[in-house]
Amino acid sequence: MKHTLLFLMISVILFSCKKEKIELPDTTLEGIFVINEGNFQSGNGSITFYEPSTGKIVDNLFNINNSHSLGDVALSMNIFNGFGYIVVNNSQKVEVVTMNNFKWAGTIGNLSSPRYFLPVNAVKGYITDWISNSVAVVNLNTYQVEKNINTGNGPEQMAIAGNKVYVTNGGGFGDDSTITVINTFDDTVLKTLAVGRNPNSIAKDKNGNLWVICNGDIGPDWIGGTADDIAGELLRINPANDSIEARFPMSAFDHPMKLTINSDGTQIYYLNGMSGFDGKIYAMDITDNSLPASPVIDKIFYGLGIDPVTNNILGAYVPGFSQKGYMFRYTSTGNFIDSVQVGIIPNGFAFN
Amino acid sequence: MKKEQILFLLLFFLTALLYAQTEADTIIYIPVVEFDGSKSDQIPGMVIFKIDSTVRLTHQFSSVAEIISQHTPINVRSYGNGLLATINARGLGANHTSVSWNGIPLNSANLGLTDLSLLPSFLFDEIAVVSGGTGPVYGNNSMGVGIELLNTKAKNTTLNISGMNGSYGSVAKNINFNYGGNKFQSSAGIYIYNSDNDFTYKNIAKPGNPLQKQKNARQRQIGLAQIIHFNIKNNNFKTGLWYQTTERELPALMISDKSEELQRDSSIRVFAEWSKIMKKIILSNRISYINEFIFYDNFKNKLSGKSDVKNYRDEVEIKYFPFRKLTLNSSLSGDISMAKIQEYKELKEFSRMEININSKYQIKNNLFIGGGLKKEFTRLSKSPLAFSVGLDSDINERKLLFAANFSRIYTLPTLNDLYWKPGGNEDLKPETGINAQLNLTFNFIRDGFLSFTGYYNLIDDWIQWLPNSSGLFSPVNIKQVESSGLEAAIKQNLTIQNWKFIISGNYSFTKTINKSIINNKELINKQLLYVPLHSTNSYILISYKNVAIYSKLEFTGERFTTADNTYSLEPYFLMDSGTIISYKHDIYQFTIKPEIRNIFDVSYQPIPWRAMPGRSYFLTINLNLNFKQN
Repeated sequence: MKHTLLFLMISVILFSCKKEKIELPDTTLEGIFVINEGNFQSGNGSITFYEPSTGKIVDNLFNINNSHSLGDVALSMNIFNGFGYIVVNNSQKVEVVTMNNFKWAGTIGNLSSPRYFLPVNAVKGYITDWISNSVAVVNLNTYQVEKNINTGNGPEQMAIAGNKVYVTNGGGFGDDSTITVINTFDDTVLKTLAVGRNPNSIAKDKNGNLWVICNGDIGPDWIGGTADDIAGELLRINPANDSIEARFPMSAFDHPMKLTINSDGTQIYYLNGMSGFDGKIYAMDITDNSLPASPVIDKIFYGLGIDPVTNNILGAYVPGFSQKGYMFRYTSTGNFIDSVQVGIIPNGFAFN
Repeated sequence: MKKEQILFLLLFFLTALLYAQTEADTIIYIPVVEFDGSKSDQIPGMVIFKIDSTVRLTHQFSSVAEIISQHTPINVRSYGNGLLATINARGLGANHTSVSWNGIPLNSANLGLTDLSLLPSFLFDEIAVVSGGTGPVYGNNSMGVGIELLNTKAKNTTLNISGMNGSYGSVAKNINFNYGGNKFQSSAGIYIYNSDNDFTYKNIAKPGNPLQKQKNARQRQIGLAQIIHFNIKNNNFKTGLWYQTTERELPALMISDKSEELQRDSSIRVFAEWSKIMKKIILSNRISYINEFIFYDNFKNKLSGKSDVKNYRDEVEIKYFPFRKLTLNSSLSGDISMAKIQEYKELKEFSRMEININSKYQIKNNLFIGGGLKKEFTRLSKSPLAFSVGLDSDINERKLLFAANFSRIYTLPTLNDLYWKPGGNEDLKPETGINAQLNLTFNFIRDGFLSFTGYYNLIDDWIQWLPNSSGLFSPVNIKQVESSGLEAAIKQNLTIQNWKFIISGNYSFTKTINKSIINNKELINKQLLYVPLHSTNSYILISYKNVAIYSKLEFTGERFTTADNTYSLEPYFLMDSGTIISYKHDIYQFTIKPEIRNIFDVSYQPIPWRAMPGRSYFLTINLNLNFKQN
């Protein structure tokens, strides 16, 4: 009996301490959303919210505002029509939240290995599905996958130009050197463009041209910087005739990634290094005729973003895989502003 | 949480003391009885926990994992109900605690660990947890704690038939026949276990936190074991055979939708031991063969894997008593592991030889000093000379006992660390360190004790798998880990006429931190993953004549889920209770044991997103026929 009593007393003590919850105002969240992958199979992917005007940081934004967990390997987030679409790769889903208080609005399931989301129009979105080599066509009202379009190996980022969506085929488990072009009217493959080895990111400039980063290949030894490497490249495609107008091969052993562009569409940025998954930040004007010789920021990052309001350069820094990372902020010319602690393995940014 | 924890501890000790009115048994120190394969007494200064028989009564079909977790200060990390369970004694890794069965090391060469969830407790007559400078005694994987599983001679001739039925489709059966002759003894058993394991739980990872049934979680186990002892002209022989196969579906984490994973662990373990007790010498030779076969299948991702590891081992042991107060133990062993694992690309052989000398000297009545040395020779890594020195002393006529031990310890890299492709690193150094331990034991007036053990471990070249410059995970000797802590144990038995009371409890404070780490200052002084700072368990049994009731309470404190200690899992309490009713007539004894586990239906996660069952019910019945009393 004493034993039971003891148990009850202890229970009261323990269960009476509850964690405090951060209440968010019921207004649209405006600022920077940091996408933190979390660890594979650990369910600790997260979104960190940073409000530049006040310096306020909210860690684990999704989990504190919703009754369930974001899951793991949060790969990307896209904000469209007042909703945030968070792609959670290993949890095989896209979580949809409202942008005013980050409340859960729905889950897009039936995906094997989702990577990126692209809104096509008000009712339709595309999601690249890495392992099934396809793009899922999603109804944005019902959150149902209505169709799958076959692509090349390991589809990654997409960009839209007119009624065409360009899907970079990053190579998946093997390799690939193509871009699949999809007709958005009937969701069919229009054509396949030959590009460099393992294209993985794409962005549209102010002239409507598409810039593509091809990662290259670190080779079958799984080690970057060795003889079996194929260097990456940057190229420009004119969507009017789908021709490659310019090619900028990288130096030997270079494996660029995470191409992004400023809000004016005049300056492109990418990460470049030997590893194939992280690198220093490089910047290039879209009118330049050659690749930049040196990085604008001489520090290795895992993710990259350009703040559309200030043109600040944001770097996602990962000090270790089982600990919180940082967002480093720099001016557009590369002067360090500050660093802010974010979630586990930050890999990119979304802006609202 | 801080204040609550302190309060809890106070409560724990107060209650413990309340029950500590009267006293003790000799759980802590085992005297040398006979040659039975146990090595726990070879070096002074060790702390030995033997799981006692009343505890075993309440755990008929439990795994060794459940018993150790509920009745010792040692932490067991479980990856789900009936799934992988590893010992993380003193906050160290799963490959830092050795498990031996009748003197044969069970830790696999490829993983370095033993899955305790696969070891049904009813197979072993004795389960002991030995802590201190166990390295020279148990070898490679013993960084401070060794688990001994022993089979002793059958004393009686009995037939035992047991069955269990329980929640989520759990069914177990065990038939055991013991023959206890004068020159020949045998224990043979066959057992099966089946569980759908489809318990309902609240899925906090899903929108609206729905009640969900665990899927793809079925478990099946079948096994047989036989131990034979016989004696021919003063030569003692002992043989063992143990075959077991376990098929477990591996359920998805709460965060994932579905899993189609399955794992099948099959093992065959055989040994033969010869020993001869002479005037001043006990000579023995033990030869063993272990084959562990693991098959893994993931239908969803079309992945499958096989691992087939065979181990051949021989050990010669000499116990020598040159004069009455000195005991010398020396052993020479050689073993070879042959690992056929897909990811190694080729058959890998790992052979080694170990030489070990331990001594113990009795200075006076209850004062022993001694030490041990061990050197291991392998072709791969240079292992350091391990040693252990200690003393056992009696401060106040067996009312207050004192034990101290200091040792140098190490663990070799596992075959996976060395050869797994991609990632394996053949340049790894062994993990080496020191271990110091002090123990004070107060024996109460009768049948009870209170024991405190403080320890300190410092381990260099700790191996961890980390992404390399290409993002590929590879093991490296990355850091220095310091583990220090306190273990407290209390036990009190009390008998008043037909009434019997037993209360026992354990508390452990475990601080295991990164002392230094290459290129990652933020992790210095941070607690290792999933190691609770505080954990306790307690057990109470009250019996009157042939009826007993018992309760077990387990508390596990906050566990960090990230290396920088920014995220953690909530503490939890679990309580199990049951009744034992037995009826004896002539040679028959019939026992019925209803039990409720997780009485308070606590929803908890030992490891992130692993669903665990809520309240569940089990009924065990047991029929024992005792044909002949020796």
